[in-house]
Amino acid sequence: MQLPNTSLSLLSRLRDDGDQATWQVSWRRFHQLYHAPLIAMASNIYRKHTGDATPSQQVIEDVVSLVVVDFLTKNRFDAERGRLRTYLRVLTNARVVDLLRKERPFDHLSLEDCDDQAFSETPAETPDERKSFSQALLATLIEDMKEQIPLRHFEIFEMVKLKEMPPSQVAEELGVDRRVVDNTVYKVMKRLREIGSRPEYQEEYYD
Amino acid sequence: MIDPIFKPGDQPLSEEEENSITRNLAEAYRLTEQQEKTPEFQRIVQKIVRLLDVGAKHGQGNS
Repeated sequence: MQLPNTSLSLLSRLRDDGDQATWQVSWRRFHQLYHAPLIAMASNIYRKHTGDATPSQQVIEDVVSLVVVDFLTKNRFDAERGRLRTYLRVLTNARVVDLLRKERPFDHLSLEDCDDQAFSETPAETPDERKSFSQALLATLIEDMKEQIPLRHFEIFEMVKLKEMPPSQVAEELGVDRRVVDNTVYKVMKRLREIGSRPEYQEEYYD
Repeated sequence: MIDPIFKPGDQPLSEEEENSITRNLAEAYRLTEQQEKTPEFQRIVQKIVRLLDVGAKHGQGNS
């Protein structure tokens, strides 16, 4: 099923087999947006399955890279059937479990102590994962909004809201009236809230 | 954490909520843009590229 191209549109580009150059840019951007939540997911899921053992940096990097490749190549995420963060957590759990099965024994928990059912169940989401995913969702929202407004409008919005520059300074630097800056920021914020109120964002954000 | 940016568009925002949106947007944007420069991020990108390359070659070999 095709994802809507007005929201979370980056994901729809990843599903498009047409343009290789666009796909290359899109997967790198996807990784950039979801890098931090994937790190948090991999670390927390590893800890849950190992009795709180700390994963090595290499383990985290291996898991995250495999999850991103799974996401890109398996192409099974359907926004109408489930949430992105649930899907990414299931992929991450599968990769952590694969790695643990290869990496025995552990200091804290041997595989003999784990039953398959416990391994196949994705551990509950932790507050730091949730926070990290929420930030990724905000960054995705900005990305979607950027594609739907004139570049000049984004430039003003970026300077005022994302780089937190005083509006009067932005007006001076861009050589425009202060009212233009205020009106543009107002319009872009309105657009941002419209996109954020779409069901796919609401479902990702709220439980 | 409930971000007021995701409140329904017809509900007005308080000044505190407006300020909260600005803080959260700025933080999310900054973190996303900055992490690209970390060695960890770059190592993972290289791993992904290698895995995708291996997958593509494997696919060609099977075709």
